[in-house]
Amino acid sequence: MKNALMSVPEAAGRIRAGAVLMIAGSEQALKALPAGSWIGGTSVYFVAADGGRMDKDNVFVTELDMARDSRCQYLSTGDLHNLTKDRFDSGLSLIILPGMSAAHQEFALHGASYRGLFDAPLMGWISGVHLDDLGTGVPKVIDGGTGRMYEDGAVLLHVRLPAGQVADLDIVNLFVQDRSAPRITFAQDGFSAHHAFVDGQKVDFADWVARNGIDTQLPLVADYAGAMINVSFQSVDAENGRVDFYAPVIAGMEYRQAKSPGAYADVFAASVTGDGTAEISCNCILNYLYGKLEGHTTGSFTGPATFGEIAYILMNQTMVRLSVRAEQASQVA
Amino acid sequence: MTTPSDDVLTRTILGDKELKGASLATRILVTHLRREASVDPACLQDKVTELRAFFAKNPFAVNDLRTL
Repeated sequence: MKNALMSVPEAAGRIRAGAVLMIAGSEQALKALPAGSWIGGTSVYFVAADGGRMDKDNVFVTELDMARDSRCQYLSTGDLHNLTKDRFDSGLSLIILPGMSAAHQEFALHGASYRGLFDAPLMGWISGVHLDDLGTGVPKVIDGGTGRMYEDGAVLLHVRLPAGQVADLDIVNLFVQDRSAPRITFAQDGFSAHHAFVDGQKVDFADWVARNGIDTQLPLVADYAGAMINVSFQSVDAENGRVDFYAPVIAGMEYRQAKSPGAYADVFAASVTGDGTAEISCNCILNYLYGKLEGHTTGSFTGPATFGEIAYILMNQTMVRLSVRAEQASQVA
Repeated sequence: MTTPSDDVLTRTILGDKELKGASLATRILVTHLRREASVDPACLQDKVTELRAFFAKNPFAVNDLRTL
């Protein structure tokens, strides 16, 4: 794996050389790239080797130099449930969905039920826009095979690995449940909620968040058999009794608010091992913002700052990492 | 390691045991199956079958069996 922030001409050179790539950048930059074996999505925030930065001119390129074969694919929202059908027998799939699109909603709500989803690594992210353009800009994805750009649906890059090689997909989540915080559950799945049950008591959730001075920079955290999975607050509208999230809350799952991890970059450096230069990774735009990553690094782990992260399912405020190694050494998939 | 019995898989789905050291795929899948079985207890046997098929199909998950 090779990760680098590079100019559009440099990225075009890698594409023309036949490299298999995943690319993040501004819409203008992505549109300027030639067709080839790549997929892309809009984000202008990056955690580069020299620190976090906003950059509309350059693109962040991850090269899958171990790929033995690849195919790009666009799937409409209605076909998303087929996303595992065209993958290679031995490999991995990368995916990018446009933020706030119907595909984003569909995948977040139903992806875990797609046939065979957990049989091979599915890693990716949600595209976004410059934060000044929230509400007006439209996140996009691009199928580099055709050069077509989309506001809905998903682009996938299926990759075949060499014999004896497997991909490890995992997450780095610095947030853990605050065990002293109340237990929160919801009656319905969704990206928004009017009511919640707080320690079993039904409440107007927006009102409860406001009255209790909840720090909405700290996500709700669910315990998935020991894996901490976040749902981040997007907005709290106490007047209309509505809380919006960046990923769906799931009915019946028990959430607690997270403890503050402390200074993100420092805690990250102290707790994450491995060589990020040999992995694909992406980190959440909220970690970039709340964790004040602009100008700061996350060690050797570089990649786009994204508007939702995918490690099989949608995640928030999480770094997703994928590496490739010899089969006998693999501990996770 | 052989695939565990239906009893073990059933206990895994009905329980809330932390699968310490298991792969991310196994942890998310088991949690997903637990939730589905909780919402619709009549589908429990289907979820056991689904979990059995996952372990049978995926060599990477074999190491996870010891966490059940």
